[in-house]
Parts: sequence; C-alpha cells; structure tokens
Amino acid sequence: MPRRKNISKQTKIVLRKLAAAPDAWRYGYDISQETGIKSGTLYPMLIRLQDQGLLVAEWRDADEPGRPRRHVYRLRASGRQLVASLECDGKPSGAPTSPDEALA
Amino acid sequence: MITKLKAALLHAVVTLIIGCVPARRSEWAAAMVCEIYHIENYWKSLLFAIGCVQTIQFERLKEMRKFDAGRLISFLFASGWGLMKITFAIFFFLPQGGIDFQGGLFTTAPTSLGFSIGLWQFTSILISGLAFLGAGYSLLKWKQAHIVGFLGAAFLANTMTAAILSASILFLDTAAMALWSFAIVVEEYAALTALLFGAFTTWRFSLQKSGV
Repeated sequence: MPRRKNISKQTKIVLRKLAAAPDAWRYGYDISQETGIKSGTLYPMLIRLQDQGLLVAEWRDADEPGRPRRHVYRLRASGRQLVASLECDGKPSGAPTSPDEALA
Repeated sequence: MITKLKAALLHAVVTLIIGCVPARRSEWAAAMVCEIYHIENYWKSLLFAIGCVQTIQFERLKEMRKFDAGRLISFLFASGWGLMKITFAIFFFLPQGGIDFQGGLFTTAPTSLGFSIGLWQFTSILISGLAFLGAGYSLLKWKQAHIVGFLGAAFLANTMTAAILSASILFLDTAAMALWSFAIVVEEYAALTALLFGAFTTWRFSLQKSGV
C-alpha cells in the first residue's frame, strides 16, 4: 500500500479557494490577499501544484495599458477532483488522497 | 529622493529574483516579477517581492541538491584544510618541539614566510571558515539530515571567534586575547566536528542510495 502523503493546511486553503470558482482565472497576488498566505509560501505551493498536474498556469495581458502581463492560475480537473475528495469525509473509491496520488 | 531610493530598493529585490532563478523556473520568476508591478502599495509590493526571492532561493537550493558537487567541494575543503595543518605542523610545529598555546592553534605562525602572528591567525581562521562553508554546502544537500541546530551552533562558534578576534586585535586586551585563545580551540573542534558530521552523513546517504 503506498504511503499516504498529507496535504498541508495552507495548500488545502489555496485548493479550496481555487475550487470555489473553478472556471475563473486567479492572480497570484489576489490569492495571497484572499487567503492571507505570503508570497514566499504561496509560490512554492503553486509551482508544486503545477508540477503535479493539478494546476494550469497561463499568461494574460494586463487590463491596464502599460502594465506587464500577468500569470493566471486555475485548477485542472484532477485538482478539482482532489478538492472534492478532501471535502468528503469518506473518500470515494478511486479519488486521489494526495497531489501525488492524483498523478499516479 | 526617497521615491528614487524606494524604487532602487524594489529594483534590487527584483534583480535578486531574476539573478538567482534556475533555468527551469524562469517562467515562474517572470510571473512573480510581473505580479509585483501590479501591486499598488509600495510596501506590500516590497514584502511580496521578498517572499518571491525566498521562493527562488528555495528553488535554487533544490537545484543544487541535484548534483554531487557538494560532496566534492566538502571533500576538497576538508582535505585541503587537513593537508594545510599537517604541512605546517611538520615544517613549523615539529622544529619548535611544542604546541603554540599562544594562539591555541595546532600550528604556529610561519614567520619565515612573512606571516605575522596576527596575519597567520587570521589566515587560519579564514581557512577553517572556508572548510565550514564546504561542510555546510555538503550537508545542505540532505534535507533529511537534521543538522540545522548543529550547524547553527558551529557557525555561532565561528562568528563568536571572529568577533572576539576583532576585539582583541582592536584593543590588544590581555583578557580578550585569552578568551580568544579559548574561542579558537572551541572553533577548531567545532569545525572538525562539522566536517566529521558531513563525512558521516555522506556515508549514510551513500548507503541509503545503494539500498543497503
């Protein structure tokens, strides 16, 4: 049986925040502001989630002229599935219990 | 003026992000930098940027763990340090027939080579400091080794030594010199222990890697 890896409390907060509006693209600073998670914690988390295939990141043009483009983030289906499994007390069979398992 | 200084400070932090980024994370570094310029409040943007520097440094450290240079560097420093001590012990310590307790070092100042006692003491400490760096770099590679407290204590000993050395040189106080001699001994043993610990973790890691 593979070892189950725990998801940190802060990762859960970010995952839930992103899953709250699954189709919306979110900015890094906005996520930081809304969750209270500092950039030094948030970005490693986003990088890890993207590496694990739970998050998709894209570049978008800025709304205001003269400003640089921005990176936006959204959960993939596997990420949403992981959040759903976190919300359930009894995990549904086949649902991933960790970001690593979601990839497997 | 203050606006310029503030801009320069933010620019310096952004440069740190760009300058340290490993190649595979360049897109993320660009994302962080662009995000900084969308934050209206200066201090918030500065704090955000500092967090990004932390992220990039962490990514850099993760990259460093991927190759084996740490072990090589540690080995080179440790062996260089040891060889230096042995060489000077043979050529300068043996002919005098006694340990030079004045500096608490295992060797005495090679005055025939133009080293004054002060310069020699400084050089010895510098070299042992480099040995520390080598050991520290090596140990950095294994996050499972719980060495933060240990290395912290060793580096603290080294820093204390440097501080006391500076004080004793500045004021040439006898009591400070005596304290410094004691600190040198502590620092020497701390450096040696750090290197041995590095060698031990290297050996343990090799065993784990080979599946023993």
